[in-house]
Amino acid sequence: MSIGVSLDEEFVSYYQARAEHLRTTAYLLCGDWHLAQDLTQLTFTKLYRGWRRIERHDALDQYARRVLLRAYLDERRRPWRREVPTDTIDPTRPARPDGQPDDRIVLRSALMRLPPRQRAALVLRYWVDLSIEQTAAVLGCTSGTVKSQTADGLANLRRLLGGVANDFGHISGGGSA
Amino acid sequence: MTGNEPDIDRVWAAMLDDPAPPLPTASETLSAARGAARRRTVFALAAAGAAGAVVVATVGVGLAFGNLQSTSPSVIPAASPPSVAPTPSRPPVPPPPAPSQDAADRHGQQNAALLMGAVPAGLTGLVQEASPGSPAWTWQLGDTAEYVSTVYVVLTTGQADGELSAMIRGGTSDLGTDPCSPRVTRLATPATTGCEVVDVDGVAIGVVVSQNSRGQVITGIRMLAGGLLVVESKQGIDQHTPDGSRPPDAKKTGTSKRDHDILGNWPGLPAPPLTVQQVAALAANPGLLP
Repeated sequence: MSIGVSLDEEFVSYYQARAEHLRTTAYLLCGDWHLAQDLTQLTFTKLYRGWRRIERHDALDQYARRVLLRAYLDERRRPWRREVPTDTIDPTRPARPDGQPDDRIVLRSALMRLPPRQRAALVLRYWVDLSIEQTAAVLGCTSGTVKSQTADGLANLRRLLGGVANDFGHISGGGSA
Repeated sequence: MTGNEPDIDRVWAAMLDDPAPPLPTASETLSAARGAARRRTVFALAAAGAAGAVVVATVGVGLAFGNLQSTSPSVIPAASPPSVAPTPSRPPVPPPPAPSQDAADRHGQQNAALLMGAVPAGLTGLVQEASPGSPAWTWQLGDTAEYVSTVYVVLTTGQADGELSAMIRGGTSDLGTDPCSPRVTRLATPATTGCEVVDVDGVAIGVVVSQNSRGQVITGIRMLAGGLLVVESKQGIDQHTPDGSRPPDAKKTGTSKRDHDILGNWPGLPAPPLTVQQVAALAANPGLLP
């Protein structure tokens, strides 16, 4: 921590720089802006509590992502969070006048239907743009697991997308770092 | 985003087509984080002065274990100066090594069982699982070798809640051997004064009696080689607000509101669930370490 710069100033500075990105990551994981906000707040609260003990502030992003992921996965496990969103979207529901499902709705629904760790692997690899090794560090698993979770996630995404999948021919396995 | 998977960008674009609500300001978030930290902050009763400082004296382990199982909630003794027992003349036990992070995490099951075994009669203990079948909440601290691994047991009467916890902290160097040194107490509890070392069968335990928003907190600290073992007996669970902290008995109802329809949020127990002697004895229990 820099001499003369208070803990709170550092914290505020980090929040202003990274909160939006972290919240967007949380949203892509959970599909709900309000829950994403909760997770982001929880993450920053934990960061604040541990701020004095975090010696390598250059590694804050990685630490924050790990806290966020842990919070997201824990939230899903907790009994009072085992809730089913009322706005679950049926991907087969016609949403356009021509009777075709709205691609946007189909895409959103497909991502949300992936198992949490597959979704997390995809978000970290292709949204946050982490390497396989970095993703493994955040998820707390091996690189091999990341590769298989990514490949499985992409395969499931293609399967869930059905007709829209024609447009997803370029999505391939997650084996490359 | 990587260029290797161009079409997945459409998934992100579809997701982000849903407009985000305004991001709370930094000051709002800071305020909430401070509030949460404050609720975790405990103040040494010694500093409270008028409230009556609790001076922890040397206690005997037999006395402590004698009370461990027999306390009923209606007669839970408040933390008070323990009976002064002669300092045992047993040779000091050297600090055992702090376990690895994985070992500490795996040991969570046993620590949960030990904490449940210490639940006073009349109270119901609820182990707070980090994930199904895994009671240890284990965190690595940044990219360091340091970690904390904590098991929580909520104690409830159905109308009031308290908490027991056992935390192993490892990967920490240069802590010395004094469980009441400022560096150690700063890691174990924000109360940096009022720590007294008691001897439990040759094991030095630092004991701090302090206070949170719901009552007294009794903390027992045992030094490890490269870490700490910390046992806490909380009269009440820190107050929770919709800032991300929720009580373990919270139940979410409804699906569209996100304002935490918390059931519970109960006041603290009449007194901390374990006395000073009991906390010291539990902290000296070798079963809490792998």
